[in-house]
Amino acid sequence: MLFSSIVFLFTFLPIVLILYYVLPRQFKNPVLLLASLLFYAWGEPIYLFLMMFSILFNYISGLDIARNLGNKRAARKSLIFNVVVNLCVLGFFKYEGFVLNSLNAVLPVEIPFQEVALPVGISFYTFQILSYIIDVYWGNVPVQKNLMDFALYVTMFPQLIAGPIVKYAEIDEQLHVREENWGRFGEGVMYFIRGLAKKVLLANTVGMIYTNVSGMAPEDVSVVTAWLGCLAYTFQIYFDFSGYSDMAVGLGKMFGFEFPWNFNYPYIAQSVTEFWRRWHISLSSWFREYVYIPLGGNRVPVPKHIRNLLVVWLLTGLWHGAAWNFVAWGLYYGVILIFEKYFFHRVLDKLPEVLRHIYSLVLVMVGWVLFFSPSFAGALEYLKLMFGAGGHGFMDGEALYLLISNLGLWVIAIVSSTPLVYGVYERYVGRRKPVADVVIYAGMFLLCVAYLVTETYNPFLYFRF
Amino acid sequence: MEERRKRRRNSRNKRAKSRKLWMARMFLILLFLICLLNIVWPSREFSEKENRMLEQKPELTLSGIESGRFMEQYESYQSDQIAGRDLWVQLKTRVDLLMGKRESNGVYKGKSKYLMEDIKTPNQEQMEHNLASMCSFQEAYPDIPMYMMLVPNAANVLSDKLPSFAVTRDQDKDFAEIQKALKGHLTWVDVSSAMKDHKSENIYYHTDHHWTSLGAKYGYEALAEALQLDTSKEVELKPYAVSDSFNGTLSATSGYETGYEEPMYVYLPKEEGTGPEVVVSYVEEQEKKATLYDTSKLKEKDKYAMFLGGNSGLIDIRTTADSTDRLLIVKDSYANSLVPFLTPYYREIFMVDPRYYYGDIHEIMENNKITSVLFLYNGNTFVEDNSISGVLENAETE
Repeated sequence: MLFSSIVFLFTFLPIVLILYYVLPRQFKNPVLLLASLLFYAWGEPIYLFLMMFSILFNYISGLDIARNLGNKRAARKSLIFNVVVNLCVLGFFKYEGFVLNSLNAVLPVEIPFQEVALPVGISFYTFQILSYIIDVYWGNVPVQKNLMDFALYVTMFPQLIAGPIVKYAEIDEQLHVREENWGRFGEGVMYFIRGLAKKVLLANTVGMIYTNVSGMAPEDVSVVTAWLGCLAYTFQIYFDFSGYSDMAVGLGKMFGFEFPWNFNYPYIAQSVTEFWRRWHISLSSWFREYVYIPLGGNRVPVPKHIRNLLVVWLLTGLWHGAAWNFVAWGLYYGVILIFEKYFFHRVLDKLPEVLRHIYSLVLVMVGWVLFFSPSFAGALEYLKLMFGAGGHGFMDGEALYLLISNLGLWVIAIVSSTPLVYGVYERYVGRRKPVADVVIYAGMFLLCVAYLVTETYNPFLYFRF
Repeated sequence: MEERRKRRRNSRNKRAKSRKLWMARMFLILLFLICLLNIVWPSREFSEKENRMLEQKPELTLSGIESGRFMEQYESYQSDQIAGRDLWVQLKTRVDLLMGKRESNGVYKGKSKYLMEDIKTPNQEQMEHNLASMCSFQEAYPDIPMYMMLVPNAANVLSDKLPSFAVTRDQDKDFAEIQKALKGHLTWVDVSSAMKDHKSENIYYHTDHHWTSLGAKYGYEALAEALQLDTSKEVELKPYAVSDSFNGTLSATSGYETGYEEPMYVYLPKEEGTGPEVVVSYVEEQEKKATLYDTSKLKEKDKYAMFLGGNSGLIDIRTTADSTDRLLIVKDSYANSLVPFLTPYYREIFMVDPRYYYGDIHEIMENNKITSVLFLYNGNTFVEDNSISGVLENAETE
């Protein structure tokens, strides 16, 4: 199920809210757990069993590691076993097709295989589970003895399918003790509505421009059209992903939870390094904590540091998708970050702010081309169009139409990806005019509903002649 | 000083708190209000506005859950049956317009309240197949003259009415290629220039993708020239309004101008009784009527179906015209409003719509002494058609 659906908003959420708030404390976690399982099963009925296996296996595994904490070797063995199993499950479902396709491409024999559908959210919840297992091994968190609470941690529906990746340490306390109150609920509402608006009003609409451009024949795409298509995707992925994270944080608050922030206006970054401090923060911090720092981080000789960075970015790329263009995308950032750290650093600092901003955005947009293209070769094709090797001129009528007919949307997308809108709003409305404030949020919510309803506005033209 | 700052902070905290409280109330009220309305709102089977069946509550079955089909259906059911659906749809369309959007579901919201379908990109493979089978069809009947009449769409003829900066595919270029492919086999009826000559008149409906009766009349004039019809004894025709509340399919497709109502005309002899009598047989439906117009359709949403009752696979029109010629038209619905102009010149007119016709076209050719064949399509339908070749090749495959 998606948050941005009529079923979620007007059937699922009201029922869960009523049950959650009507039932006494000891039933609150079970209600959330059941709701989460139903939420997951709605889209992936079969993978519910995989989910249950993961929960049971890791619950027992956590207990086993904790039992062996006195015995370093045994605990280590248990940890390695667990990590291998978790990664194998993830590997099988997410990377099987990629690995075998790649092998088949280089090997003289053809290994037959059947590609399996990717269980939704598996990358997210596997990482959550690993954070628990590793932290138990390190002694950072107490082991979770209550199966129900552990299951709730893994499946909690607000962040189940698209993050943020909540580390166990961040939420351990809240699983036992948390306070639901009107203030937090109200905050949650604001987060949720903002997130919904980002997703439904901005991401979906700007995404249609991208779909439009990506569906055009390459020979019809001018340079400006190619950049507009890429820009549209740049906005789409940000509003989509950060909108989803905002909704997750908001829903968490409605049930008394505090989840970490995931995005902090990434497109105002002045360098690519800064972009990654602002983009998908929970993933970067996961890699930092469980891969980068254990490898030695930056407190090692330079060659090793470079290796560490490349390893982290290779993995980051692979985490996003099982294909070579994601590998290229990850390494692309690894290389840029290394360069920024060791060379550009001084030059960048001297540049005026505008140039630094443009530099970062262009690199990020080129990165998205690697990301959205179906293959590495496709990415190169698109980059050619962007840099004038397409042979359809710099600007044409199509580009002008894309620009002008969506002018309002472009402007809103640009200002909404900076702190400007929020800042101005808070200053002149949020802190001053309670009625206007509530009416605006309500209006935003209703508008989102209108957009969601019309998604199926798909008149059937049986009289089309 | 200190005291005052404290007081200010206190009041700010209070305000922040009451803000959150109101947000929470607002959200819960909206959520439960809409939820309740949904429960009491009566389920509809059919949406007049969108002209389609709406999803009904799906039945809960184990296999439905396992395959996920139940969930999908349930989601569309909830969207389709949400309380006040039409209002939600209107709200969205309004906001889109405010944002500068002038295109929805492949329909442009043009100037002077003109809705126009985007020019369709040919499905090359299918179209070449169709053209080739038209040529070999002609080769099978070398003595019977055949004509191709391709009507340009509104977005091509009225391109100055497109929204600012909008560009469409060049339909003239597509037509030129089609003409080239048929050269030597079918005679090309140039209706594009006739339409362009009259583009300041009401030749296309504002809210529908068809041409108006006036447009069809100009089309007929171009056709009469190509067919070398003897129009010297033509009786004078006069337009009669049959409806003033037509809101066509483009409006339904796009959600634009859903309240726009326009007139529909039919051209009848100025003096009653001077035109030929007709008997229209809808062959597959096994129905016979003495008129070209089905006025009962004027009470429905798709009023264009008034012309020859909408779509039938095969229509056979016999007339009392003083002629021995028999015409076969392979066509789409554009022909329906043009054929009335042709009735004075033919003893019999067969209309075959390949999309609905499953019979043998060669049988018609051979059993009825057909004297000419006309292919009549609008550009968008023709370039996407996937049934012409099937009907024309029927005999060869059997």
